[in-house]
Amino acid sequence: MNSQTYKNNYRQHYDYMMLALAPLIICASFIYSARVLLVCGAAFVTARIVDVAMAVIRKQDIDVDDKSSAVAALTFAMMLPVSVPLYIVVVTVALTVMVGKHAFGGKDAYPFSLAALAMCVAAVNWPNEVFKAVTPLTDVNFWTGAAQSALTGSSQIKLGGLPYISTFDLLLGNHPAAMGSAFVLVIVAIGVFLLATKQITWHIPVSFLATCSVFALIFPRIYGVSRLYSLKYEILCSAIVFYAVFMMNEPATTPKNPRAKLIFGVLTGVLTMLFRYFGSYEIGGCFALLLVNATEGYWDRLFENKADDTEKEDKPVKVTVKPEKTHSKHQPETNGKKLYKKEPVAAKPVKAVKQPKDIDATTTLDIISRAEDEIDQVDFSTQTIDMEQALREFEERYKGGK
Amino acid sequence: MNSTLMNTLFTFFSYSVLAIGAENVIFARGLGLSTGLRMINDPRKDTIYFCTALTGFQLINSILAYLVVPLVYRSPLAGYARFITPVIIVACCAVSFIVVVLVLGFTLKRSAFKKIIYSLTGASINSAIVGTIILSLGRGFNFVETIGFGLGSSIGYLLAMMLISEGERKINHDLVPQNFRGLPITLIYISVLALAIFGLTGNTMAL
Amino acid sequence: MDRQKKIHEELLNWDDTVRRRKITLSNPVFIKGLALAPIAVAATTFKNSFILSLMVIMLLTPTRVITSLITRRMSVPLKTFFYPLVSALVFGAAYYAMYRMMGVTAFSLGVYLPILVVDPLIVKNFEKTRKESFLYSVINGLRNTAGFVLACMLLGCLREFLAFGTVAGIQLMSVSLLPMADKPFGGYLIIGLVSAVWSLCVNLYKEKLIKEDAMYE
Repeated sequence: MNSQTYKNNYRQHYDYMMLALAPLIICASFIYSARVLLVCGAAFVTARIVDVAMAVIRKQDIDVDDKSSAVAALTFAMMLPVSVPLYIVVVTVALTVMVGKHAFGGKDAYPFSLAALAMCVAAVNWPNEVFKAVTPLTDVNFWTGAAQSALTGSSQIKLGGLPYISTFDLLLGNHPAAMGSAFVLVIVAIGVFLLATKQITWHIPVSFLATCSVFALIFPRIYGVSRLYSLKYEILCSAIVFYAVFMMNEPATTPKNPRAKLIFGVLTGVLTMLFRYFGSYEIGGCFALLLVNATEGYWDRLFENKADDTEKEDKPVKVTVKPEKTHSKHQPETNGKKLYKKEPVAAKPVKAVKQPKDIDATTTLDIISRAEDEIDQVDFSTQTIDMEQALREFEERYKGGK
Repeated sequence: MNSTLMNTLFTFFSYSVLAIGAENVIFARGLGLSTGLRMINDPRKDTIYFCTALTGFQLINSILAYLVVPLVYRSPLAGYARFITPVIIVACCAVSFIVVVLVLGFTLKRSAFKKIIYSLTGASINSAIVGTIILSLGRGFNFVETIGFGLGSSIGYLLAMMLISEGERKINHDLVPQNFRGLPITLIYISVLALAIFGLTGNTMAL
Repeated sequence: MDRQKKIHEELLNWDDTVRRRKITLSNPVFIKGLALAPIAVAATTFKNSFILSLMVIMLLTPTRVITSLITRRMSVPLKTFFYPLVSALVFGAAYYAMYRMMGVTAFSLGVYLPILVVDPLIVKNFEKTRKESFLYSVINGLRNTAGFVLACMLLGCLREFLAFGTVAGIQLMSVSLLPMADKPFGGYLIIGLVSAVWSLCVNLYKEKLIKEDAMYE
């Protein structure tokens, strides 16, 4: 599979995700009034505008087909209560798309799940507005979002209480919660649809849900009731099923290898439950996902080394390297020598050149002084970190000194 | 007797876990970050060696400082102890480094010694060690808590450095806008990880 | 003609130019990433930034001058530990002076003033073997200090404005734009963004010099 078809697959994935979000938005606007459409619209439009603005600033072609930020913005909106003020949605989506996506290189190159990042940013900045749940089927002011707020099931558990919500309501999402993350039956149906159309694989959702369930069974938080009863509320009151289907299958931020995916799911599950038990926010899954996103490449590498050649062929290159326009085209030369320092280049992956150098020295103190001597030669700066050049200089310097 | 041991172990591990997670030395406090970034970008230093050395020095220096600093408070200089403490901690670091290097130099094989010595420099005196020691002294930790906190801090430092160097692989490519390459994108990457760790505590306890 | 020569010289020795201009082209915080801990965690308001800057003003240049005078004939391993010791002694004096000046406010930054003693911003120089003259150490120390103070005050004001809508305690806005700006991770984010803008400006400046140089030719 070459990188072009792979990128096309990315696009298809986001098309399907848009399609998958539609039923959720419909259900939410039925239960929580038409303001849902306003919030989703604000998120969607902000994401597209920032995408276009960034393309203009970065002097790139505007890519209309790139829906990754729109999908992330809508997924983020689904985790908010319907009463959320619009400026929170706009500021968070704009900041996340600018910094979380475009600063890291734009489409398919960002390392963190955008929806999770947006949710975490909103949660730490405006916790009062973001965690205010609205009672379903009550009046909500279309413009201001003023509504009757209620305690969510998961915060009741956090406070040591026992939520009284019938199983049927839990499955249908008819209890105070975020806009779209509580419709468990609908979400499961969407998950099956995405699985059937091969847009996601079973590895991450199943391992994630299984880990969360086992964790909740072993360490129940609701006392005085059976473990299964506790498990039901732990899983259905929170957005865990929503995370499993909508947030943990993004191709850019999850491993590619099946075994790596299993580990990814398990790790996220454990961290999610730890964050839920000991953290101060209800959205433990988002914080956990950001942390596990950072280790994604490691799991892929771990299993890539063990995989056989046929598997390697299927493994696509994640980042396609495209030369960017340099600032200056001037490279004046005098007597065949370059006058100026060459333009900044991207620093090479550090590990690739990190090899211990074997250097002859006679005494202990001698070695220390050499080490201290040259320690400042490689400077961490935005200018240029050309490791090989620095190494060469270091070696030359050392040999000269000797 | 048994319960005392269990209590001690529990204290030790709870302080370690606190220092690894919620009070992570890099993500929650930023201690040792400049040193760490320079280490990651220095091709002659190995992350694992550096952080292992840092762990060792952290433990030795914590114990030394725990024993020496209270002496100042009992001396006539007690009124100025706050201003003298940094000198004593730095002196402890210096002594421990020289002793460790001499011991390693005489016991290890020459080739092995050469391999690790570059990673040792800089691991002995940095703000991760000094900051952690000042924190645990300031909070009046007892011996077990001091060691647990010190060990947890340096393990937290190792984990943070591994996450950051793993990140270096993902954020060093040509798609990253030119002006963001290097320090800016690394800091933004660290900021996202710090945000994730913040989810554990929910409040700032840095100052 | 003079200017043309100067620009050409600057471009020819670009590395030296960068090294010399410690306030702008090689700012210790935005370009070199030194003293990140105190800046990211402690420099959240104008007042905190002021305390930090004051300490660096009192600490950096004296440490550098004293060590450059004393350590001329010292071997490197000794120097390695002599430098932080000198900086710790200078710090003790400076901390005491600050305490006399502003009372317990001097202690309000907790651990973030004492760790300056071993921060690469202050003790980086011990790693070099090049011997500094008295004048050179004074000038370089002052340049580094100015670069740090500029970055620190800029970030302090910016973060205070974003987090509380105030600058130096004066209310400019009733809402806070980004409450996370005073948290450590907000600090990393803002330093990262400002540093990207800084490096854009450096690149633009270099581009301008190159264009001007080409024009003269």
